[in-house]
Amino acid sequence: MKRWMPVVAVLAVSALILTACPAVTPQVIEVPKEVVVEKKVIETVEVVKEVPIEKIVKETVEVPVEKVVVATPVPLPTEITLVDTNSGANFQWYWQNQVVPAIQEQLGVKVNYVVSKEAELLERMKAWQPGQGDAHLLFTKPETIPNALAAGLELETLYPDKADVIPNIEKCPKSYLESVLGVPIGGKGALYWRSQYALIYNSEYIKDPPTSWKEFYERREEWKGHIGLVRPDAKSGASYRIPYSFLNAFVKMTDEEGKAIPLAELQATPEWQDAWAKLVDFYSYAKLPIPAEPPNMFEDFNAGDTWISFYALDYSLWSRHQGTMPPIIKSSFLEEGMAAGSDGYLVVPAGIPEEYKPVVYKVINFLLSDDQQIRLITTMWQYTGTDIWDKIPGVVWDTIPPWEKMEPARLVIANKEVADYIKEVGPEALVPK
Amino acid sequence: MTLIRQYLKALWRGRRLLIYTFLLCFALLIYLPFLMIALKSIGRGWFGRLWLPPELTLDWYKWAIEVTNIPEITKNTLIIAGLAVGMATLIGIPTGWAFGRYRIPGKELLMAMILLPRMIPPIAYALGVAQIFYRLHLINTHFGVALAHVAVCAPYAILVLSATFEGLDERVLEAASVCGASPLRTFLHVVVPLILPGILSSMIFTFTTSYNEFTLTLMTYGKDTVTLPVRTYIAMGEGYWEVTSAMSILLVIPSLLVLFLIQRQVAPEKLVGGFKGV
Amino acid sequence: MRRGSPIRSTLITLLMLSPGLASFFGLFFYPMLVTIVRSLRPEGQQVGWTLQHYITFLREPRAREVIILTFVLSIASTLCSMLLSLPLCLVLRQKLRGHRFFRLTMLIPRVVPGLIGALGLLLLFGSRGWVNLFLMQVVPFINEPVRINYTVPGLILFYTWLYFPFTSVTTLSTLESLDPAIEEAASVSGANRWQVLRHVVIPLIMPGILAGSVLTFMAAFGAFSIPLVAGGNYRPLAVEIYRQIDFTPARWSAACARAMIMAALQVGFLTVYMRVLRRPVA
Repeated sequence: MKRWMPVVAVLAVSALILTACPAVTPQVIEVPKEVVVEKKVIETVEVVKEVPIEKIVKETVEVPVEKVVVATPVPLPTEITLVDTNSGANFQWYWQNQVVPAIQEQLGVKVNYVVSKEAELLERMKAWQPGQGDAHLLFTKPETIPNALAAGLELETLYPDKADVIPNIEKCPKSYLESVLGVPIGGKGALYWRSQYALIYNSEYIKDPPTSWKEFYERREEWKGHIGLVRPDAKSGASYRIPYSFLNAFVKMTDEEGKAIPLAELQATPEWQDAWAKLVDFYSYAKLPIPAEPPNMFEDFNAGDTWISFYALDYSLWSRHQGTMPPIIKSSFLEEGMAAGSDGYLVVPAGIPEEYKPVVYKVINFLLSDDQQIRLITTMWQYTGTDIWDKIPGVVWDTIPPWEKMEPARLVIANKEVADYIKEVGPEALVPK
Repeated sequence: MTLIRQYLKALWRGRRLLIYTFLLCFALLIYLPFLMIALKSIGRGWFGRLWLPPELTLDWYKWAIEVTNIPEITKNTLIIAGLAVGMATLIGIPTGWAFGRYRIPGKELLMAMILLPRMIPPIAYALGVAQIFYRLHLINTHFGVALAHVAVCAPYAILVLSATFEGLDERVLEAASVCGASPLRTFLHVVVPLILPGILSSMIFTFTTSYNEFTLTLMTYGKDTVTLPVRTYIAMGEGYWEVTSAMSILLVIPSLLVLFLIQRQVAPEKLVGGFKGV
Repeated sequence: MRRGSPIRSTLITLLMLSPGLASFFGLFFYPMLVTIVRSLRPEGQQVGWTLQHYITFLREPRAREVIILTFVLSIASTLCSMLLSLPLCLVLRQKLRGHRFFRLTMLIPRVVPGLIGALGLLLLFGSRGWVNLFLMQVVPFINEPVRINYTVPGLILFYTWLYFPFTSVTTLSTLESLDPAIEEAASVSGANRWQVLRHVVIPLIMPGILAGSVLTFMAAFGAFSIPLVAGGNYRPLAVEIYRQIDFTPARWSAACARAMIMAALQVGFLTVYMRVLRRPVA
């Protein structure tokens, strides 16, 4: 036992040294902020008491920084940061190659285009000093708005408060500005685009595609092993949108007012049990193994192993155009309803410096202008955020269905509980072993 | 007699053929995945079961550079790897020296303790690191990600360096001082050249580890500290595999270049951490 | 420790050791402590103690599947690595023409990011990859693509591809430090090549192979990136853990409990393995 005493001493002393001198390496010295940090590690070692993350974040935020807000007349900024948490690969390309240069050219505003994820973005916004935020304009999925509000983050009310500086926002359909996914948002976002899921199929193997979910389910034997589904725990929205649309065809998940029926209540009904059993059965007809993410499914599609699937209409068509999906791919709808994709919202955080706000509004107005919106639908096959259907060149409707035909089939995911349930139990309950 | 000899000779030749076939299969197994990625990255309209893409294009590389922001991400990765190498080396030199040259009671136990992170799956402490870093605001800083990498890199650095210092011959040092060299001169002209290869291989090893580190990075990265492996992971889950392939080729080339450049200077076996006594 | 008072030299030693110890405590010990504490907290809370996360996980019928899968993958790929490394190293030892090239080849899976390797393997072994095209065109009776990706044998292949260098490098270095005189002595005393190999060389390099296999096993057990992108339905422990924090809201406590189980399993297995080997391996 005596032999270990020195070791114990070493440990004790080194723990002391560790506590006393946080600057272990020169790197630490260079970054003074982290010195504090290092010390904190140790303090908490001794206490081993956990404090809620949010609380600490806020506490740390309130530490005064050397930066002093000087009230000097500042010229309007000419550079803003746009954080995008919605676009897929196709639109990341579009923003960078089309939109950002257009803003620079037309408005003289340089846009730093940054791709991020919702959780990251919100986490970052929580750490902002009031009025010092550095993400001036956000381009988000619809659910980000209620999520941000629920997290206590302030967003600018764009409609109707800012309708005078963003006149084009009047063209956005009001219902989309009032609420998303059944949650009121009070005009805190401007609708830039509407995205839609569609049935996509390989016209070489499938001559007469199904026109309804019920028909699809009845004819499933024809396409056994060739139906492209994505795992319910995929990051992509396809994970729950497809099964949700399927369930919707067999069981009503909202009441007359469009409010979600609680899951527990639903599960007690025979309709739900029947629909769920059908869904489980439907998955066993899928191309196996079920792809983890959409790119894996596209691989199967391109190989000719998958014949029929579902994905965002714009993405599928654009991929065909780019030569990353075969030219024989065609798209159509199922009449009971196909899930809406991620509609794109432009959001302005309240926590950014005041002088940036007029510039950001100008940019939003530009993005909602007819010219920009028409570009969106003619180059990317994405439905516009503004209702300007009569101004859109007629040839567009040769490629995608007109909005008035599509809208009735558009299914908004209104029962979030069901969507979460699919993601949660799906990997075990739906995916065939 | 001659017949038998001829038969044996043929067998000998055949054996060589067999060996080369084996080696060829092995090399194919290692290199073909990269060839597939390379083909995918320059092909367009490659559908169905074709051996080669019907149409060639460089568009995906343009995409990879413009849209996935490779230059920025490469910069992040290099900064993080540089910081991690620096910290790991600065930790490794004194600690390795103490382990290699001093008599420490309970040395084996201490060494085993230092090497403990290698025994535990990285994801187990990555969870803890992530929670601590969230609280300390170290998420999404280069320093934070590098610090997380040090958790994996430092044990290796200590191990390699202590082996190097242990191998330092006492008599050489004595000889130098007997010949009248001052301690500083001894250090600069005798010790440094002797330990430099060890330090270099430790640095290269920590660099590759940090460059390829995924688990800890995934837990601690943020939008400003996306590294190459994390970007590859994201790209495999969204967008086109053509672009992902182009990106991968751009990322693999530096790794391979480094490997082929350093193989003469440093025993490349060190890269695996599979040195003797380990 | 050569000059000066003992206290002073002890202090110097301590000072020299401190960076290593600091990194150990700050970056490993403390995070592990946080993981343990978190795993014992009720989900989303900072106070209270519970064993519930361990119990729920271990009671799930899937838990056993996941644990068995993790062991099957890591043990099978360790064995495959040994089977691949032994002939490879014996051949490379002969210093044939181009042996340097093959030596470097052997290291490639370790120097490129694992995910890129996984992408290439997925493309190569996919239903329209070259392997399947080759099988379908050359091998009779194979008309349908063979499913390799996202199956257990496929995963073992991927793991082996990625982690065999640990075994092969260690084996090769042991093999090269072998005294040629021993083999000469054996062949002089009448043993043929096979006998020399079977009874002299392999027993002598066995410690090296086994030490390497431990490294391969550790890497394969903790493997995360490969099963994350190429696992399909098969999700070993590491991926299972990640899934818990990928939920919104993240289930940190559940993830930590699984991580502790995983760590305990790995340490337990390695302890038994090394006991059996009776050889200290770091």
